[in-house]
Amino acid sequence: MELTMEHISKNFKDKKAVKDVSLTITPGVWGLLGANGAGKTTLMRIVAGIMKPDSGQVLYNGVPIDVLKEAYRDVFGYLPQEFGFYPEFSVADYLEYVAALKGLTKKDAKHKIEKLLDRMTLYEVRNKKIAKLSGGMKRRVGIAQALLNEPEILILDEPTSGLDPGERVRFRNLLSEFAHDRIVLISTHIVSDIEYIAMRNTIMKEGKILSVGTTEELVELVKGKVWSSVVPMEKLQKYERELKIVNLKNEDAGHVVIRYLSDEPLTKDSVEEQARLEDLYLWLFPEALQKGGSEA
Amino acid sequence: MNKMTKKQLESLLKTASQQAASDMEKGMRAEPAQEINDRAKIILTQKQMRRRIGFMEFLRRQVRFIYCKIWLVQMCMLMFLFAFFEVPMHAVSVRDTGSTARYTAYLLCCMSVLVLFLAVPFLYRSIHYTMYELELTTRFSSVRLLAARLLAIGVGNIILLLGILAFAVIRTSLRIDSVLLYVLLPYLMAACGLLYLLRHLPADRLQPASWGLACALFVIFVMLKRFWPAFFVQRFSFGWGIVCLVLLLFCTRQVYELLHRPMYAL
Repeated sequence: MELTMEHISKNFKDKKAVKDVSLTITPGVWGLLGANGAGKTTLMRIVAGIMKPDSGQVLYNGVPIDVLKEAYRDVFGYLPQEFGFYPEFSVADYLEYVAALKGLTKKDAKHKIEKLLDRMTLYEVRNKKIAKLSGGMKRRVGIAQALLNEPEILILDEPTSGLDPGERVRFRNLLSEFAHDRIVLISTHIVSDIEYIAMRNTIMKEGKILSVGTTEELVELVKGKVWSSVVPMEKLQKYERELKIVNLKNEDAGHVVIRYLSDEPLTKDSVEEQARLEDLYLWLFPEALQKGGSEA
Repeated sequence: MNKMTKKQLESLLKTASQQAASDMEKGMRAEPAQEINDRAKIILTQKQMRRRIGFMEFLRRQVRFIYCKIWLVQMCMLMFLFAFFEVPMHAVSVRDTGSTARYTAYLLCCMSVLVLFLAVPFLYRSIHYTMYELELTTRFSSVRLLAARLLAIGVGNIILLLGILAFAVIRTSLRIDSVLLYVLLPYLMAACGLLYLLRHLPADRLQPASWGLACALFVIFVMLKRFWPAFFVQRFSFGWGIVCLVLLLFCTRQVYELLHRPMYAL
């Protein structure tokens, strides 16, 4: 099974959102990492078949998806970045509605909804209006609907927004289990969502793919560029202007430990640190540092 | 292999051949259509093994989630229209019968247009509640979802129009053919305009455009009432029948084009 994107490009009036992207995805969890505005959502929508690319095509097992049409949507599960629900829907109503849209028989729908409510710990709130649920619970409802038709391809666009750390861990475990013989593509700017579960990651910037590889392969790109140093508090502002500081930790006696990115160590006592995927993200997207950094 | 699968495969092969020809024109690598067809056959066979409902069963299950709401709104609207109709009728009853007849016809025109446009918010309710994108990726395409909603609205509208027709025949002095003209003609005019907008406008622009169209039609009726009052004392003649038939054919064409548009909706 494979999902292939061949020379996908998409332009909008004022922007080239996706520029000649080619990628082949095989079963397992794939991460699509990039800052806001990198083109991830546009690419996801093209893969989902709801947006036509200006050039290129998406193929499922070698067949263009606009040839397959319904057959492709039948094996496809999608959680968009922004999703809502009709205000009158309870959790069970919503899942039954989506099950009907996905073409599930009533018997299958009932069985699968029961299973998913249990798996996503939503059983207690199944008759509650979705509008009254917390953000994390709403997101779980969204993930549940994506899994209703047992899709062979699952596309999740920023799936963990609003989830607390415990929920994120449960979500990662669920996905790892699900992705055994399926394609799961997660688009995110939260590095920790995919760092430990993604088989391969794709880094996207300004509509282009910068790099594809396992976490270990990608982290090699910033090997030798991650340092830590203890600096006096009064010099901190100076270092913040000069360095890409990715982490600050207060020490006693007016000193802080900084973790920073640089081609060369910039202080005498700097120690080389083991690089992480988050470091790669911040090296490639330094603007994220100005906005508060990626989320761990 | 059953008839449905054969038909689908023929359609796939035709589309695959067209795709291959298009790719060759663009100078892209073009796989032989037969190879694509073989792969498509495998995927389609796998799809057949998954139990799925047909469009009729899908429509039936939409009754609970979508249709009931549309029909409830339309029923409330019908009752409101009946009450609305009584007040001005009572107000003008002291005038001469000719004036009453024209005013009745004018009211019927306005109500017919109102019947249609009050259902428009249901067409793309999913955009307002951010469900549109998700619905687009489900098995039933955006086209079939739209068809399901148009069907629900159409059924409800027909019942509403019949109710207005019956009420007007019983409660007013207008002849049945005149009532039919002033219910059917404005409705078909509005339907032509709305379906045209539906076909050519993106989903998020439909509602403001449709309200604009409704206002334009109301203005036309007001202008007719002022400058050509004779319009409101017509009967359903052969000529008007031809006009309605042309409008109906136009509507049918718009619906056909809507249901055959490409799968991409964003």
